[in-house]
Amino acid sequence: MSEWLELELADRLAPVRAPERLWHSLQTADPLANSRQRSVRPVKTVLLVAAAAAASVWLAAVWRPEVRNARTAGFSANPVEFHVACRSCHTD
Amino acid sequence: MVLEGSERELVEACRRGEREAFRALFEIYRDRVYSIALRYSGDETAAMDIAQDTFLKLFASIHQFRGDAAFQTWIYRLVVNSCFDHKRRTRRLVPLAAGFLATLRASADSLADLLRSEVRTSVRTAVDRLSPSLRMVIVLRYTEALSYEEIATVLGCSEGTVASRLNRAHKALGRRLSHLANEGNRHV
Repeated sequence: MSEWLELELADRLAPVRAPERLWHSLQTADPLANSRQRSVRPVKTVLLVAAAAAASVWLAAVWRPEVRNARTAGFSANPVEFHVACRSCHTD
Repeated sequence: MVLEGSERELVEACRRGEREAFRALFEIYRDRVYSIALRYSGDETAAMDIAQDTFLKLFASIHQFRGDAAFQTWIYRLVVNSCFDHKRRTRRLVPLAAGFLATLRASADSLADLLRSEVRTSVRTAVDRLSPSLRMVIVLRYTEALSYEEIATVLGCSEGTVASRLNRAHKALGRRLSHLANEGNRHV
């Protein structure tokens, strides 16, 4: 490697003084607060997901689809009654 | 001895949560940490972020320092990791654009200033274009004047790897800055 490059690198990459505001920026960024925030976030997420899952299960257990018409009602209840109902409706 | 007496006491005081000890430790290492961050990132804002991240990690995990390695080496490892993490988190300016902006900022009162500014920008751009691992070896070598052995300890690799990376970095820089070297030789 050339001596020129060695000198340039030593010159251009020389150490510098850190700005005075660095200590202030450390004081405003509270590491304890950050770690608390990090640890709380997953717990919140887990609780929200669990609540959503429980709500879905409850809804699936409670909810029944409403009967839409006589055809589906008769078909699901009793085929014979459905046949009668069908006859009464259709006048062919 | 791994730790100097006063530094050992400072570390112990930090473990006890004494704020003044943190401040004292910060004062010892702030320039070194910031210099590595700045020379690696090439950007003052990024260097502040990296330095802040390094000291926050240091203060949060100082109880994990067992004293079986030099404290300075431990801090160097923290700042090196913060540099690599920062690189992963953020996209850097294209080196050429950064170089262009630096040229705009530089004072160009005279031809000599202009030439110096061009050399500075070219060297900075050439270093920026090195891969992170090559750039870090160059920074530790020229900013902190660490030996091959110390760099190997900080980076967790062999001295042979350090020598190889330095050699590759020098060759890449030599190629990219050859035009400046020729001009420099003409002017001398």
